[in-house]
Amino acid sequence: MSATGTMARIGHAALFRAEFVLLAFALAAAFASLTVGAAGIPFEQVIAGLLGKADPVTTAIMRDIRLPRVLLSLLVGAVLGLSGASLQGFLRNPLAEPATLGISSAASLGAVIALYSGLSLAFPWTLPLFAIAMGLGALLLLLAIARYAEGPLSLILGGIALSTFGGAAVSLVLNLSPNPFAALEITFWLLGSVEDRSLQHVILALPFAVIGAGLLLWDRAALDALSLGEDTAETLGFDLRRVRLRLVTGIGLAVGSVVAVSGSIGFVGLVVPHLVRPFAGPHPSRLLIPSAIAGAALLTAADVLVRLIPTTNELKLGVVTAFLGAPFFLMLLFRRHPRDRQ
Amino acid sequence: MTTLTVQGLDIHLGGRSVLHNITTSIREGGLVGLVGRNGAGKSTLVRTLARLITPEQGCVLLDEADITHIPRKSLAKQISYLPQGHTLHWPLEARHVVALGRLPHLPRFARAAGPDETAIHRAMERTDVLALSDREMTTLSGGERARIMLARALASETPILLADEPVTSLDPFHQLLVMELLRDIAREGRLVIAVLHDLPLAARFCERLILLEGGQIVADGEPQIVLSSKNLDHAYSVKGIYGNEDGERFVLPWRRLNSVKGDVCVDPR
Repeated sequence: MSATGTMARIGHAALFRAEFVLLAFALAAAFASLTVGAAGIPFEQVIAGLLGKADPVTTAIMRDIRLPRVLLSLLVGAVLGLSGASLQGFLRNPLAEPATLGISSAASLGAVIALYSGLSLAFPWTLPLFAIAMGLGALLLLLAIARYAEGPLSLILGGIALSTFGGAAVSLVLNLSPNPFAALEITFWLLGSVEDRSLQHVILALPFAVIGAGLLLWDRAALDALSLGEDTAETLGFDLRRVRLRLVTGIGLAVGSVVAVSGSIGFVGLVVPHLVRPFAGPHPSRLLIPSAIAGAALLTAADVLVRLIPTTNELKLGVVTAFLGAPFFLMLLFRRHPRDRQ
Repeated sequence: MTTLTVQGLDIHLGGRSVLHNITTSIREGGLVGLVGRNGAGKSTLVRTLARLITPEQGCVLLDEADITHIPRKSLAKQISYLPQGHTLHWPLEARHVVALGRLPHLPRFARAAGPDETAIHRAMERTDVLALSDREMTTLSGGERARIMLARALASETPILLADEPVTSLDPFHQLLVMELLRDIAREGRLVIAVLHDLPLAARFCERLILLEGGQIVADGEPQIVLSSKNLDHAYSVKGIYGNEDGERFVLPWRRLNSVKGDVCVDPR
């Protein structure tokens, strides 16, 4: 066998090992998340509760409170990790993240409108539905931009325009809110959380997330081809216009739906691909699945932390992930040596 | 038999006419050089052949089929394009870059297999980059990167290869190596078009030269006819000296000419 053949196979084996380890972490985090909580359910009762074999209260807590929470943190984390890796690969920009396209901002605005108008008080389902609707609206706008985009810059600028508008509108709502409690409720929702969600939240987000993820994974090879620049990628057989449309749609559906159910949780999508790269290698296509698994693990672990750290107010998930940001950028700074300089 | 036919091609970029009424037919079998001064339209023509630019008027036919009607993935198995800049966005290893050349042949979610490894190895052997296999591209010199990029284009093993300035940043040894390689693969039955700035290399290794000037083909044929002193004056504004070594004829650009009258510039010495 040629030397290059042997080397490539070692690369793939290492990737499988990395994915396996990450999966183990994700499962460990999920299990920890199931056992941690205010109710103080003993170990043996956790599994029994899930299977419906414990007393009614424990079963209810496990199935209606903790299970949805864990499933949601896994889903949201996976979507954010996958979207971040996909966007970084497509835009050829290591600082891209799911919020770059502005979908999160639009979805947040939808949720904020539901909260401000009081509709979500009367009909709780208006909150995620408004968020998804606004997210889809932003998606359509982005698709129009993507059709005629000349390159990654057009898409980034469109995303910044959407984000800025979304942010401004949310600020306006806060500005106009009738009382401090309303403003607080909006602000807390925006911080992002998977607490007090039901299985229905998971079911609402799941189809959009799965379709979105499918669209993002469909174009894995195109991401690798794009390492050589857009011209070469086109001549290697990739219709970049279609790739762009599928990517925008995928991000829109997946990210829009998770923001709708959990608020805007930042930094996971940005940080996870960088954490995974030393183990999975620099190929953009190879980062997608490991980033999804690592994102699920990271967010679930953060959610465990949220419950372990004793605070008077409920500690929000988005706050914990925000603290990931600064050390991450410092790590990037110290890690820069000639091999990272392009 | 592979043929690329260009009919009545008109290309406008940024509102300006870059190529006008280009009509020609190119076959496999001998290295074809595309020559002309900076801005003559060489890269534009090659990019149009690679279906990266849509013509205002006219068309490009690959064996009677209009290339704009061939699905991109199929076209990628027929035409390989090597652009001028050696863009690379991520710190990949050399062999991974060459492996990207196999993408047109891989089904959607497949990994590289036996035949792919062979093609990659062969391409790296012919461009003399096997020793650089595990090196990261960011640690390589410009010339080494250029050869890896050529290996990537060769790894696709397509019947047609379009190379834009493949030898520009190479040392003399590797310039000769690559020119010999391009000439050999053309003779082996591939259709190879290379945009070249180096007149001596173009004269020695190409079987046919197409000279562009002001967006039009002004000469087309054997190097010794195309690179006549009259054409050198008109298309390059230089005077050349001609020579013969071991039966191989060559031309060296020697002195700049006053572009209007064709007078020899006054020698400052």
